[in-house]
Parts: sequence; C-alpha cells; structure tokens
Amino acid sequence: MNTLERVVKAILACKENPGELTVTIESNLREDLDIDSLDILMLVGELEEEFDISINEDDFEDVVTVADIVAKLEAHL
Amino acid sequence: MLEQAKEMVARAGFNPYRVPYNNRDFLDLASNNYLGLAEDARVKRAAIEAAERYGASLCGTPVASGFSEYAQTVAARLAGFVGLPQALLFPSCYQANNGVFSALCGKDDLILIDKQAHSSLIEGARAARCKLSPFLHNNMEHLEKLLRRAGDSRRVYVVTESVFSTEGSIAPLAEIAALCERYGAVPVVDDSHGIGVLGQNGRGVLEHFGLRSFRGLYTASLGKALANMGGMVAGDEQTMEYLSYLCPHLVYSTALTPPVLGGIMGALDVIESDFTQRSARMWRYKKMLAEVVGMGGEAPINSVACGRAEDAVRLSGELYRRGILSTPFIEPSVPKNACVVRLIAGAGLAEERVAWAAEQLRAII
Repeated sequence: MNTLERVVKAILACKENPGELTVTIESNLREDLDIDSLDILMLVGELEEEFDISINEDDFEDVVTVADIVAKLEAHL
Repeated sequence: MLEQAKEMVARAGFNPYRVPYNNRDFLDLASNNYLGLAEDARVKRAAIEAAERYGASLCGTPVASGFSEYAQTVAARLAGFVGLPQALLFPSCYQANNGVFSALCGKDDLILIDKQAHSSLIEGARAARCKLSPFLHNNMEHLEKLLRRAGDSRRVYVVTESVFSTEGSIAPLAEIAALCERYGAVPVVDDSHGIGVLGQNGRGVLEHFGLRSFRGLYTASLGKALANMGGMVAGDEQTMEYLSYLCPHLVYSTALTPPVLGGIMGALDVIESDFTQRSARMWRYKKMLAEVVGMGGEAPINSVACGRAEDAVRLSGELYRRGILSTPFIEPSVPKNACVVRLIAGAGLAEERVAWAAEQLRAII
C-alpha cells in the first residue's frame, strides 16, 4: 500500500461507520470527513501504529486535508 | 463561532440559550430532575433546617473553614451510597472532572477516553497535558486495541460516562473494568446521569453492574437526580487524600453551602424510602415518550434525532411554543449533523401531563 492508502486505512479505523465514507486525497478533514480536534488525536494514534512512528500531536494542528497528512508523513518517513 | 450561533438562532426562530420560563406555564422535560426530588417537601425542609443550623454558607474552602463535620458526614454518606471507601465534595461535577486529571496525571501517563464523553471530562483530560487518545464510542474492541498499545505509559486511565446524556446509552462499565484489570489501567466513570437513576436502589452504575470492588475513580453531579448542586469524586482513601491536598479545583473553591449539604442528605433519605415507586414512574414515562419519538436509549432519556442544528433548535422552539421545555443538543456537544432534542420526563410530573406531551410530540414529529 502507498502512503495515501495507508492514511485512508487509518482514517477509516477512526470512524464508527467507515463504509459510509469516501476518502480522497483532496478530502477536507472537517468539512468532508467530519474529523474534529478529538478525532485528530485518534487519527494520530492510528497513524503511529500504521507507520510505526511517533508523532507529536502539535505537528498536526495545522492539517486541513488528507493531502496535508500525506505530505507530513512523507516528509517524516 | 458566536456569529454562527447567532445566525443559526435567527434562522431557527428560537434562542435555546435564553429561554425565559416559569414553572406554572411549562411542562419541564428539559431538567434532570429524574425522581422529582427538587420539589419534594422533605428535601426542601432538610435544606432549610441545615441553613438554620449551620448558616447560609461556610464562606471558606475545604482546607479552611469549609470543611465542617457536617460536610464530612455528607461526603461519607455519599461514598457509602455509591459503594466506595471515600468521597470528596466539589462545587460542581464539571469542576471535579476538570481538576482530577491535572492533579493525578503526569506527562508519561495516558488517558483513553470515550469519544462521546462529556466536555468536562474531555477538557479535564486535555488539561492534564499527558497523551490523550479517544476510543470509539462504547467500542470495547477499539479500547482493547489501544490498551494493548499502551505499554510504554506509566499509568493508563480509561474514562467514560455511565449514561451518555444525549442519547441515553449506558457504557459497558463491567467490561471496561475487566479490561482495566487485565491491562493494569485505572477506570474513571462519570455517573452524573446514573446516580439516583440506575441500580435496583438508585445507587448508580456500580450497583447497576454489581461492581462491588471497583478500583477506579468515580465522579457524579449532585444536581441531577439528587436535586441539589455540586459534584462528588469517590475512590480509595489514598487517592482521595491526595486530591484533598493537591487538587486546586477543590482546595481553592468555596465549599458547598449548608443548605446544599442538607438538601443532599434529604434527597438520599427520600431515595432510600421512595426509590422503587419513583423509579417505576420515571421508567413508565420514558416508555410513553419512547413510543412516539422512537429513539429510546437504555436510560430514562428520550431523544428526537434531528440531523442539522437548525432543525433541533426549531423543534425545541416549537415545543416551547406549545408549553414544553426540552434540550436541543447541537455541535460541538454532539457530532455534526447528529443533533438531537432530549426529553427527560421526571417522576415528579403528573402522568396525564406526560401523556399530553406525547400527543404534542406525535403532532409535530
């Protein structure tokens, strides 16, 4: 799986009804995916496990889209 | 956000943030007066007698003049009521939830919290400045996954509410306690909508699940079924002693007043004598409304699913115009587009009035 696919997997793991969600690289976390600040914390945990890295939650304060997450992870990896 | 709230109120034609009412003209399905104790003559008399005996206020914090023998008696009685060794009294449960994590948690700890936990718990957990990981609502599989991952943390707390107050689901606390036991974590439960409501004798969620040796932290509001105000934190003696010295939200706040302490004792007396009949009425009323609204949770809470915030506020406004008080829940209190209007029909209401409310709801929904 590429980075985007793994990010999508992590996002879906944070949702109670993942089957109802369509995630693309352009998806806005809040507007399209209903991810709030608490969900971001859950997502950080899933990304840490998926990518086997440690993430500083403060680094994710400015993420707005899935593309932002992918960019941050690819810079980190 | 203020402008958005004002615009939404203007579109809905109703302002739920400023609702003028008097008891005579409205049927109150908004308050958390589950057992109807707020208007019970015995509870009122106990509050008045305590004021006459001990004064209007202790005018001090619990480390100064606020820690009276009477306060100690009330705290001990509450601890015994819920089945725990010791309790502390706070000015509110919001304050208790805000304060305990900052006092107890260090930077190497981890707090796992139900995604739909009350904002006081979430804000309290955030204020602790240790790692915070939400788990999917009441999802034990997800919780266990996070517990398995938590090996490096010094101490792990698992935080939930007993009754989720917007939709009335009950947390699987027995499973949570078992998972905590298995992974060495500390369960923390806010029983604000469970104390005086759940359990065969109204002793709350620990009685409801038969948890006799609960090794965790318990908090609850004394302003709902117990019909007074304030909050309690209960647990083992060592933790309570620690908090009594080192929780600023307790140490630096004026202690609960004698009328409140008296009212709590009065409420506990009435629960111990009258719970069975009052509880039966409360559940009957819940069922009457559930037949109309359809979204009946496990607790005596009914919720009408409205979707958008504007629709929830509009429904609450329509109920208000018909003489019924209700509580609209909109984001961020609930997830976006999952807004509800909550109705709680307390045991103090007359059955014909609840039946009338059900008819009004049937006409609107």
